[in-house]
Amino acid sequence: MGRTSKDKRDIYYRKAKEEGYRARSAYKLLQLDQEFNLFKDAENVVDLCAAPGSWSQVVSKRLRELRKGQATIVAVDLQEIAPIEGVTVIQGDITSRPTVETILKEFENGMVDVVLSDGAPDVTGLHDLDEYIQSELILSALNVATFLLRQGGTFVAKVFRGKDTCGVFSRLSVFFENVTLAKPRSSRNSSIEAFFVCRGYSRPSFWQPTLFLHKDASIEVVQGSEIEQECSSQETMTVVMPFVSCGDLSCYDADMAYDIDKNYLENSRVTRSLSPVQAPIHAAYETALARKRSAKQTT
Amino acid sequence: METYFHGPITAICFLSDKFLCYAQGSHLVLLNISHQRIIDRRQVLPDGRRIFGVSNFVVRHNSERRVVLVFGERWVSVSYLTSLMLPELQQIALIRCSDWVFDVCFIENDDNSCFLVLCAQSHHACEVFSVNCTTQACQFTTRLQFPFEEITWSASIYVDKTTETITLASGCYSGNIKLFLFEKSLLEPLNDSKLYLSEETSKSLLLKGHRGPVFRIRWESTGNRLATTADDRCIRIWKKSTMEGVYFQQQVVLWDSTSRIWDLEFLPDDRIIAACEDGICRIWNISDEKCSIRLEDNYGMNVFCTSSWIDHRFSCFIATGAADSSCQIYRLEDILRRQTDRYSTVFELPCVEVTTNTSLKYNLWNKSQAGIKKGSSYSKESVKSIRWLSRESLMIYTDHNRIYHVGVWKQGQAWKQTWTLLHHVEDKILAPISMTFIKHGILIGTNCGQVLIFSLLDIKRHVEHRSKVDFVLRFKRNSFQATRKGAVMNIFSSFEENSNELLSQQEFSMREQIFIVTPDGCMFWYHLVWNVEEDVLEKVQLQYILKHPCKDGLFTAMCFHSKTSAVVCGDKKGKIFVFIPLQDIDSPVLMPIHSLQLHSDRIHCLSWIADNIFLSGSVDGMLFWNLFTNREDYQVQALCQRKCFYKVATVDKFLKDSTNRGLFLVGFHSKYLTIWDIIQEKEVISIDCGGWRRAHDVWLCSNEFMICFTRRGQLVLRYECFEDIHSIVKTPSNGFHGMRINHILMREWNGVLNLLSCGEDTMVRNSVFCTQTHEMCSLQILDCHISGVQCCAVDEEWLWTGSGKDQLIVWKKATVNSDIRYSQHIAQSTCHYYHKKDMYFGTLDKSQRMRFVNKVTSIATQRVTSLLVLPKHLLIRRNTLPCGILHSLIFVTRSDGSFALNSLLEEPKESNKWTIHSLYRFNVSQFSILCSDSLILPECLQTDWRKILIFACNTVGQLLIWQLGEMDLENPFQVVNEFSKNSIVISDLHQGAIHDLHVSLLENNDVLVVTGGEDQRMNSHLFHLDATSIEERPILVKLHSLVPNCGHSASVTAVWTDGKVIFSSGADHKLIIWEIKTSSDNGQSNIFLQPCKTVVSNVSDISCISVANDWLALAGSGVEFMKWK
Repeated sequence: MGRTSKDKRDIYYRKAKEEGYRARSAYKLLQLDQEFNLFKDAENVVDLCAAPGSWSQVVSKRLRELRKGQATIVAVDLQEIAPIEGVTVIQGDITSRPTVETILKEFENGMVDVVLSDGAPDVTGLHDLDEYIQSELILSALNVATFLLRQGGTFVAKVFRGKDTCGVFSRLSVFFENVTLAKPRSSRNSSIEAFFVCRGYSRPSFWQPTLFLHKDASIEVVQGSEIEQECSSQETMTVVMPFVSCGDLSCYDADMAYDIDKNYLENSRVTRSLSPVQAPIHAAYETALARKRSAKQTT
Repeated sequence: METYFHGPITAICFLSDKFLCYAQGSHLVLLNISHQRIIDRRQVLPDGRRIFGVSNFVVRHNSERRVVLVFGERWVSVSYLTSLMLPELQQIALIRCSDWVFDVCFIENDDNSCFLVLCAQSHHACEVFSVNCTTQACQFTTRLQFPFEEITWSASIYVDKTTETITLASGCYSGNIKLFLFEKSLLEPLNDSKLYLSEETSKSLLLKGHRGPVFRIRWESTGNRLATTADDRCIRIWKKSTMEGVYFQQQVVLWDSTSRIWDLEFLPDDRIIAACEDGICRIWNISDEKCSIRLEDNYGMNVFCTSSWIDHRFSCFIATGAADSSCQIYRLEDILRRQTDRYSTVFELPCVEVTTNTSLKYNLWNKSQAGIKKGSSYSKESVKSIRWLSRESLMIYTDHNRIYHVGVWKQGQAWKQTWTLLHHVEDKILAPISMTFIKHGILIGTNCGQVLIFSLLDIKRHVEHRSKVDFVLRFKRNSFQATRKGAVMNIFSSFEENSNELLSQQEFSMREQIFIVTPDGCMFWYHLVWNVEEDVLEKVQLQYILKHPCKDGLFTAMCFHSKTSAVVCGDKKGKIFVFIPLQDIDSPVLMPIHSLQLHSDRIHCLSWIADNIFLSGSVDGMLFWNLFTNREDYQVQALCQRKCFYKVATVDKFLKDSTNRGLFLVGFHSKYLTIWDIIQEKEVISIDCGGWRRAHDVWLCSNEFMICFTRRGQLVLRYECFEDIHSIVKTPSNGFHGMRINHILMREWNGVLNLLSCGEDTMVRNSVFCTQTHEMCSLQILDCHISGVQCCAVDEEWLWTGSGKDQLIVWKKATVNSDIRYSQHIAQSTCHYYHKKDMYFGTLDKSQRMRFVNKVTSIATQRVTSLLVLPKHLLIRRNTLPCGILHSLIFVTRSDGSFALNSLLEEPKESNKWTIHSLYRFNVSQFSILCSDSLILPECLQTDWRKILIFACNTVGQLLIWQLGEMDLENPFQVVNEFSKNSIVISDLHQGAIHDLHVSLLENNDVLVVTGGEDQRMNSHLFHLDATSIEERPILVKLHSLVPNCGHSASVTAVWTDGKVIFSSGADHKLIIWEIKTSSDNGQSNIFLQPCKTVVSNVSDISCISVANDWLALAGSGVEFMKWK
């Protein structure tokens, strides 16, 4: 956004490969954790839309550092995830009841402390639609989170900030005492993504968690005021969403290109390009690509 | 507020065979197809919401009347189209649904009293509204909620009129498609307005197969088939298997696209068209599962929508709308016809024995010898050069020193050919090296400096009598010794310029100018007289010797200006030379009177396209339009340039088509041969030649062409007919950036708005927006960058553009009076154009930039993030330096947190030689600088060391301010010291990055700094200029901040201010206009901000605001013009 455009390969992309993370997004969670100390009291963590699993990698590493022996981490996604140490992987749709029941079975010792959701649709380029689908994803993740979270639990979700962001914000505010928008420095400034960090879950009295998605998680509360309507209409926004930029100033700038030498010289294995830590297991479009490739070979 | 959006076309729909409507942002545009004119443009959804779909339905009792349904987000607009002759939209209802609408449908009641509008929504719901035909009142009827639990991405409704059933297809995020079939009677109004449907009341079916979100579902008009596409990038066609109920089975899966597909449409004769993300429309034959046709007429990425129409003559029209804000209309028959007229054939070259000596025996490709391997006494000949004489005959010479004439023609369905050996030499000295035509013959230059001339008359006869197989060719051969200085490296003739009518009328004697290039930097100009009646060469006379300034220079291209007898030559190092034969000099040796470094590599072709404009193409892949001033000084100026081929390519040949005035360009990249249409600015065809040798030639006539290329021992001929692939109609805008625009500059100029836009598609476009007609047309595409263009800055004379890969280019303004291409579009006869002067890379050296595409470097290339043209009259006392004359001074900020001062120098002795000279570079911040602005201090505050202030912001919310005074260009380090000494850094202005910055001087000499940040805030700060400060330290004192407590709901990415109003805009698509007000209480004047207007824009990814008088332009994915005053 603004005057920045995307460079496909930045410093975090390279660092993730060096340090064995499956995606550069790992640094976003690390920086969010740095700011909010998400895993201080956490033992049970659920990572929704987890593929390829970089966030679960971070969670597992952080909980080990904090010496949580009995920690349970569950990663859920529609797509396959390669096994991660200390993480239970469930393949399933988060909007379906059996998946949620399987998740709940994993936690014998009660409820979940932190629910993470880094899911995003493939962006189409028309941001209106992207933002809408993304807010749908957040709301269904919230739906699952209301099942799982303990009182006072934390929910972190990726959001594409746009016209209707404050609609999502006010819905989240119904369920959480403290909702903050955060942008880690490892998230590019050219991207419209940010993260809702919602702390202090308290289930409102009227709310009975259900998996019937169409019974909108907060529709009873906000229907009268129709918050998302107000936000996109001509009047200026009156709610100011708290915003935090996280990651300290010593970290790398995602919008900058760094010389390879500077970072690699201290590393003995100076290689020109590292292979990906975890190649996509089963991308939706892999058949299309494979067919194209074989067609090229035969002609 | 008047707004006009030029950007992605998101929906398109035919109203009749004469009218088309398409949606561009929030505007619904009515286009008259036959006149190519926009007849109406209006907003139909409230608050400027983007339109996602348009459909029209015929009203049963009145075939002239149409109902047009337009939807976007949660809104549906219902309009009548009154007449098909003079269509006008008359809105009768505006519906707000409770969820996002994915499809709408229209059902008429039996008694014609009212009709129903069905809106398929996310969450597998369908809302029904009834509209009374007479009172035009719209009423909510019912909401049908189907049981399913998945996020919806797409939906489509089909109404079966005979069985009175409705089928709703819902595409899910996971790739499932759910079908619900229900009775029409369910749509009757009930007491309970919400109707939860169970599995009993509706029949449902789950279609499994896709993976990833289902982007689009389309019903065939009969309802028997359903086409779907998803993230797995295939199209699945589902066929109804029973007449009753809802049973669909997968019929076929169509593969081809590796990019996502946004829209589908069934076409007649079992075909389907898909609009794809990669900018290509593909048409499949469903029966044989093959993608037969690709339509590639759009710039950049993303074709969003497609629509079709079958007229009363049963011809099918197709329309597509794309992200480059253009729509194209095709006739399906035309596209298909092109498909049938395509032919490709491979001829084996005659095999020759290597050991043969003097005999002229050869085998006319005896197939039994085709398999002879290497090492035997036979070896395959390979073609060194090919020239077409006409569609049916070509000349080739091979590496075995043979010159053949080949006749190729089509007899019935079969292709036939004859081969004739014209000439064969054993001696390598006599080997052919170059070839050209004159009107009556072929000239062949040999290794020893001899030129052979073959008469064309026999070839002409041969072509006429080709059916007689026993016809024997006898070529009359003439020769003359053209040079004794070695081989004839190149040979040109003045005839080549208009070579299309090769074998035409007779004349008695022909005079030709021929030019022979020798390896020692000379070109011999011969005058040749041909006796036509006897078909012999009458006279050859040396006129002049044109000398290259370097001894080892080699001319590789030339064109002859017949009016002035000027010769324009290009050499192997990309230089252009102009020679003029002077009357008063006795010596035949001519030296160039003008030279210009135009290209960076060998110039391959030069060609006149107008009296004073010629084109040049080079191995570096660039095509230049050059202006030749032919009156006094015979100078050449590069007007504009274009990278026609997507990859790095060689521009090889120009083709002129005299019948429909087309002009084409042939180029190579790796093994592909591409033909590019210069006038239409698009690719005509790209052919995979396999492992090619450099021996292609193309022959072209109005609607067909033959391509010839070779592999070892083979000659491949390809015949294509391409006339019909042009779309029959285009939108008047003629295309825009197909990708995001990173920066724009808008200036008012004689009643039109001149717009310079820098796109992520590596182009800078110079275009004009007419404030009367509200149409935009493109003047010029500046295409020299190798990555997305980030920013531009302009002053009276110069345009600077900077891009990723640390590239900085300067362009000079030129006023061209007669523009050959676009003058009909613009009311004014003169317009400003820009032509490239110099290019500068910050971190790439010259060798890297030449093959940038392949090179892996360990040094990071930075982006140029912003540019400021500095007022050089204030900062520099003396323009003339020992190294040149300083023309312009630019301040460059880059993504590694450094800034640089660059100057444009003109070399003192050699005029027209320009260099971008880096004065100095300085690292100020460890974070990327994203934006900058400058401010000239009021005169009362200016001192020698303090003339202007420069402001810049970075990604961690810091504002950096420097003051800059007079510079001593011979000692730039002193300036660096001053720069670093005299800076102010204000931290924590914003949380996160500051995206844009604008500075303005208020009336009381206070400075207003407006910043827009990632933290959703637009902040403005007031600074006071401290006049008492006499020391060399900054003079800014912060007064106070104006931080509004309301505003945007997403990051603010563009701001602008003039000291009275502030515009701010960002990712929430809102443009807020703030007024700066002063109030005085207690004798103290207070300044505060007041939001005065909010406009929702259709530009996403907003990057920049530019203002010119009453007009404001917002750039991002598209441009929106607003009349804000």
